[in-house]
Amino acid sequence: MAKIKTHVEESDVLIIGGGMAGTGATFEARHWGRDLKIVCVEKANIDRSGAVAQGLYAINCYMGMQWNENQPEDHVRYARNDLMGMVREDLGYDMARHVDSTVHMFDEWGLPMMKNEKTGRYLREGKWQIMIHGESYKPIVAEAAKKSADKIF
Amino acid sequence: MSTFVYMTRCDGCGHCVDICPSDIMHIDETIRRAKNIEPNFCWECYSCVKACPNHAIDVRGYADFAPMGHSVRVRREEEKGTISWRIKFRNGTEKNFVSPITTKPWGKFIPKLSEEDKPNQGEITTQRLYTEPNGLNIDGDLPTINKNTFKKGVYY
Repeated sequence: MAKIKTHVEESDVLIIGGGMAGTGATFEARHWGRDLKIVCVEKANIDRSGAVAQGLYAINCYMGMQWNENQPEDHVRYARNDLMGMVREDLGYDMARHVDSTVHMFDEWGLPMMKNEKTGRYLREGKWQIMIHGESYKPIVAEAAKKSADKIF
Repeated sequence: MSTFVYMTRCDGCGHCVDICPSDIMHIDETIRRAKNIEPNFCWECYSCVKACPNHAIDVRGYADFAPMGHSVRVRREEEKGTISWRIKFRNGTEKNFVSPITTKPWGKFIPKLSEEDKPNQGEITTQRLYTEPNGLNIDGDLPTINKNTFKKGVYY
């Protein structure tokens, strides 16, 4: 075992783990807290860390509220059935109502999404999933985190 | 299975050590070349393969779908925004795939939030996230929870 050094860092917002959620949270935190000191800690390089390290060729949940494909209520029902009733419906609802704007944001950042050329809708491979070219899903979001955080370890 | 390094191509630059999410690519202290210190912990995520400037890292596939004699090579080009895969099968068949990794110049369309206008206090107290409500592309504001509209039953 190598020697472990202790590093002390003061921060206003400390994000533990720089996977998909952590890097996203870093970006969002900077939007609301412009003057705060935001620090993200991650054991590996955030360009390739967490479950999306090798890329992910689908976004597993997209409502498509703009085309009335699904509404948050549909997602709550799906999750409730899937988990046999053991769900926090308010949390499921909250996730579902925010997911579309996040997906649109990734589209804006350059994540290649597969679209129907005629309708402009995202191509689906299931009721909730949409298809993307996600080799660089993580590096794109990591880029956003790097621009936002004061420090990344 | 796991990654391995072609010793004649590796120059010990350490890019793979930096990028490996499992922290198992290390530089051998004697020969100054990269090696996978713990093949059992390899995720086969190809992060190091893509990061290696000398294309010195390869991955052994599982025997059932990629028997001996095959090869999977990859080249990730950020400037071109593409990733290209070349798969050679044992019988000589070769397949090439190219996919986009980004649709826009790298990182250019990701805002640097600290240089933008601050959200005002009124915005902070709403339940909206960044880009909302415009980013939702729907008429009206962020939907709010209403237990009466929840759907019952299992059928869509």
